[in-house]
Amino acid sequence: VKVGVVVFPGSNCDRDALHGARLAGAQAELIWHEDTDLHGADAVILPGGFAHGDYLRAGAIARFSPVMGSVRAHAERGGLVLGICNGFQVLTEASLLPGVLRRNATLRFEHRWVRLGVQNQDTPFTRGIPVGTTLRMPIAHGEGSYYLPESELDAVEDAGQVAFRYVGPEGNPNGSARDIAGVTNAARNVCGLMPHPERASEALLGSDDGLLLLRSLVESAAAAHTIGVEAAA
Amino acid sequence: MGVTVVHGVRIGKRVDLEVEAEHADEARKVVDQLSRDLIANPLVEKWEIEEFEAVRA
Repeated sequence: VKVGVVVFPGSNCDRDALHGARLAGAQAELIWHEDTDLHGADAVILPGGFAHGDYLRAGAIARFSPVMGSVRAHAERGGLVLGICNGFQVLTEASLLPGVLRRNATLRFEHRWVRLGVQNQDTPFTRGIPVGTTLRMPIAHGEGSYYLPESELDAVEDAGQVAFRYVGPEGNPNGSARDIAGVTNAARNVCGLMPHPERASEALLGSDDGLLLLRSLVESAAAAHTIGVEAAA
Repeated sequence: MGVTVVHGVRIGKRVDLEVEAEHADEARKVVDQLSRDLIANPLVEKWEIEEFEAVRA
């Protein structure tokens, strides 16, 4: 199974994501944002950082990067796409995920450990992680307050698209609507979250809970890969 | 300055665009489209377009 990690100018968690994907059992390689070929990746990760300097708004310029056409096509074919932090912001700006990430309610850059409650285990990113499991991961962002108008939020909740919520004593660090930390698209093959699973992928880092999510992604990609290979045969 | 009661600040944006167009309406159309599709995220941002005097090259 191959995971491609997109590198935008200003990405800074690309190597961490690469390392995390490898720890989760995948072959992984970096894909420069000007590349329109995904190098046969079964799953794509848009990593954290400050793509294109986050000029205008976080993710607003990155959606025009040449690679994004291929990422969109991959997603439309049902391919898996995971956006972490800035990658989540890019996916919302590209309309591959609903909503937008606004300035933190605190008006400050927030960097600390939080707990995520898994809300839906029926996604390729959470398979095998029972609902209610809490995952400890760090956040580091200035614009992470998830927002969607109330009526659309209801629709997203009803469709089971809320994958993760901030839970526990650490609470909601940024004022996200309904404590939402991560969502999927309606087809559930595209997911974005503000916390960093790749920064919680080894006990040495303080937690390896993020590895559960990355393993889930890799296993789901492997299953899809096998089906694809059988279909082609 | 002795002002101790301000605990948060957020600064808005002003974007100046120079547009090549025959008429002000044409320019406004371009700026309106750019505002909607790029400069603002309509989910959370509002915008107003202000016209300044035409500059001739």
